[in-house]
Amino acid sequence: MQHDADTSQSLLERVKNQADGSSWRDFFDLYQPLLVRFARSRGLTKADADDVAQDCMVVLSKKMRSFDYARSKGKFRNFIFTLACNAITDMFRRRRPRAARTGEISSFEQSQDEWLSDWDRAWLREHLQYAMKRVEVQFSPQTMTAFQMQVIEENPVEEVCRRLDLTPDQVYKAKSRVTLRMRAELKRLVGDVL
Amino acid sequence: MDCPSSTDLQRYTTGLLSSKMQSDIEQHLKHCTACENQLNQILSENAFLDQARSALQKSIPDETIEVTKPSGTGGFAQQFPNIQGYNIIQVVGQGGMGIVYEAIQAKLDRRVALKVLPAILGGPNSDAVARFRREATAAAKLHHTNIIPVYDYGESRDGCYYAMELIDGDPLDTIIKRLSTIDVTEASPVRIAEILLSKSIDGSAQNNTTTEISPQQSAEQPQTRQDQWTDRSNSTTRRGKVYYQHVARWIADVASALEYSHKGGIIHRDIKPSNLILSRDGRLMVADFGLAMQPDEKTITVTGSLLGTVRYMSPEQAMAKRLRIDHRTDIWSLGATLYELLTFEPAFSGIDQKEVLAKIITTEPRPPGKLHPSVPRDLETICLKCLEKSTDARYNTAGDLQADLNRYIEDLPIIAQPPGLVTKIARFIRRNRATSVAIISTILILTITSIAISYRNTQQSERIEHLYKEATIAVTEQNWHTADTAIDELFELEPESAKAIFFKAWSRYNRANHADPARAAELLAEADELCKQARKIDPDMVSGLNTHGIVLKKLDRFPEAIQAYERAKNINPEYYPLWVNLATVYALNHDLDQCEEALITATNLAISQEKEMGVDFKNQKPQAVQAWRNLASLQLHLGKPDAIHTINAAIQWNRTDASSYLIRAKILLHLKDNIDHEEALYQARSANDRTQQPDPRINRILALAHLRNENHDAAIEHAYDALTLGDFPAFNHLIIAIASAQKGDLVSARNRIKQAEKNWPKDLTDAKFRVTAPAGVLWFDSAGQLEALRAKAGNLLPEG
Repeated sequence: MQHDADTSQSLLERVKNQADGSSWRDFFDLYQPLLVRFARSRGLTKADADDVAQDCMVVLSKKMRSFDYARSKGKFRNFIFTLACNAITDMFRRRRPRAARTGEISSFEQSQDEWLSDWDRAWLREHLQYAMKRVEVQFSPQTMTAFQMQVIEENPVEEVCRRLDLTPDQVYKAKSRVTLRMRAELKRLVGDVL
Repeated sequence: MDCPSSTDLQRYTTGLLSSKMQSDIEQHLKHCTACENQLNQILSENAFLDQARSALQKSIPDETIEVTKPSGTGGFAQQFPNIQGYNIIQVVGQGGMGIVYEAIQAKLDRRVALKVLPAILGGPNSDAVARFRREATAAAKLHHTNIIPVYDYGESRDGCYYAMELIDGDPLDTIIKRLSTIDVTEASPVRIAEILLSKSIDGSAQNNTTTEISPQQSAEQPQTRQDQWTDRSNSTTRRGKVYYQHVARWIADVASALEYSHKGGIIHRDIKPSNLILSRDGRLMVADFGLAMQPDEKTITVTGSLLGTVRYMSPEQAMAKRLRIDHRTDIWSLGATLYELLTFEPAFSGIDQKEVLAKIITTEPRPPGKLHPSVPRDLETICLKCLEKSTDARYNTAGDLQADLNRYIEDLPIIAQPPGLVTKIARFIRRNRATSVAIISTILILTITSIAISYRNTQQSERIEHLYKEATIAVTEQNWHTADTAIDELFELEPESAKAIFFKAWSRYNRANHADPARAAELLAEADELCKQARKIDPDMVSGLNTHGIVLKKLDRFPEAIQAYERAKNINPEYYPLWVNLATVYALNHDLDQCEEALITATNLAISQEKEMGVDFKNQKPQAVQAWRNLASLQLHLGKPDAIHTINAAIQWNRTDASSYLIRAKILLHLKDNIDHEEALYQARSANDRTQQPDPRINRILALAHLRNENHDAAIEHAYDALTLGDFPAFNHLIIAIASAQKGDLVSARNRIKQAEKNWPKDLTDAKFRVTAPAGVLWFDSAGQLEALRAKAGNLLPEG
């Protein structure tokens, strides 16, 4: 994972505009697990989910260059969602050809809301965790520990101060700084915060 | 009181302060825009973290996501949890936490709604489970016609669950969506009834797949509601009236349910259309009771779509004063729901949560009657009374609201009064004070920032604020006399004030920029002295340190300037101009790594602050673009391919900044893989179009671009202009030499090369590059480029 990459563009723009491998690797690191997670949440086995993710990544590697990201917010999210749904549906069709013919595909239409909420969950989680990983290395261990204890583990500030020997001001600053950076990272990833 | 510390503000949002302190800060916030801004930033931070927390807490191992449970007929998309005693039929909805299924309770053979918190969302002892359990127990205590009753609670391997009555009907948000497609005041009651009864598409489709619903049920029940509609309508009444009567009835019913639960000490806290179900027999029922009932709890969202929830949050919830929320928050949220039933538009909308939250806190909703003239005046008054920002101005109890709605239904005069003139004026002043303060502070931020903000309440402080403002304008307009008079008065009003002294230094610095060299040196020395003096009084004033940094930079004392900025940076790392200025000084000090790091920090800050501070930061756009533009300039110098993307971002940010276009032109002329002479010329022209005065660098780049496009005459012309303006002589002479040679004028060419040699810059023979920063634009001249031009000119001439 590159930490010193260009800061002015979102990940998608970088993948779109640049031929260099590092942008693509970042892209892969983020979206491959997301696709696997989503496919698994729809009930695929680990092996099938990996296949689905692989298929999607192949399509994405071809489509990303022509993808007009700047035009609309959220378009990419829908784009990759549709892609993933189709790949998963295909996979089910392959696994259970008979069922597919007897109307299972239409049940996808009915439950699309459900798919979407699974998707949203997976999307949010992967982006946040990815951003977190990138942010972690940008701060001192002390700052990160303070953030972790206060925000994620929801310890009272006094407790954090006591255990890390910090002032409340320092603990709150840690929270603000990490949050600021997280949001900037998210913005870089998808051009938007959550 | 003085401005609270940022720690106290943080504590304020979590309600951890004593109630005295809490109310002191609340009072203070009414007057202090700076603190208000800071508070908004904290709130936005908290909202983000609330949303992010569940994802950041331990990542769920892949194995637990395994929900595969092959079912022969159910279809692969329907993987239901296994809950003992219940047979799940289908999904009917998704609540704040957990999924709601339609199920058959085996023992009693009845249809129920089963809400399940999936095990993957929380282990047996997690907060989520504890909350879920509390929700179930709270709801189970309540027995009211308009509250969905809870039958059962349990925990199983696939998650915890509780069973409640399955209401045959649709959530109100669905109903509102459907109603918004027609004109309720024109449509006949029958038509409205049809719309209310039309089952959602997936609902009916899925019903067909189950055999559990008796055909009678679905055939009979629509009749009930349709009857209810036709009964009430009589042809002489205005058609819309029927609709509004129903709306009033529904809301009154919910108000009565809320009154009942409030009396039992339970606050719902999450009243919104999707939590209200309109049953087929026309009752509006409250669901999801007690979702956020514990006072110290944060509203959690699992799905990531907080927007829906945010929209119905009361101002006190939006401000996250979690301990101080009382039952009137529900009245507010019910008002927001009523608003939507009247107008089919949300009372507060925005492109993201942050904007919605900000509007809930600061703006008054548009009166429903303004959006739809047919909305009855009384209903509008009732609705707006619920949506009062101050809890005291709302109905005292849900019962009062219910009573007033009943008066409306029975055509009796209602108790609530439309806002009188006094209220309106008060609101107007509140709004306009905010605007004018925003304007003032913008001006100040552009220069020395937020000096006057911490004083405000007394007349003297108003005078001081006025003087700062006046002096700032005078300085920018170069009215030195006016500025000095104002500053003198400031010194009298607040002697020993570091702010005032820094301000004076800043005015001296500006004056130096417009003075002849000898006088400028004097003024700068004076500014430096003043800064030193001020720093003795207050060594930690960020804006002051920034001023000193600027002065020291001007004096070419870069290490000292860096020191001042570094100190300021440690005090307030979120102050954007600091990073840009620091980066410039680093560059001038030939420390390019540090420069790049500072600029990257600045761009990150700008991105997040623009998002968080909204309007305020946008006003600083001309400043904000600096970070990107300077970063691009640096990247170009370092030969980094990112330069082009960075400058594109800069131009996207601000299309009026000539320097950005100039850097783009320079990139297109010099950066490997990006060379495009024609486009470069166009960009240089764009830069030229955006300046009022002839600019030496623009002319030089124009000359070079013309040269590359083989427009020899134009190249020579612009190079002459550049020379006249005092720009980089060697470079421009060489351009003229090359253009002349290419035209065949070898004599001129030789002559120009000699001129170039004579004017060869000494600093570029010692170092590989030189950095300047005229008007904050980071600019690199490289020895390599100059050498390349000389070589090219030499090649064009025959030997000798």
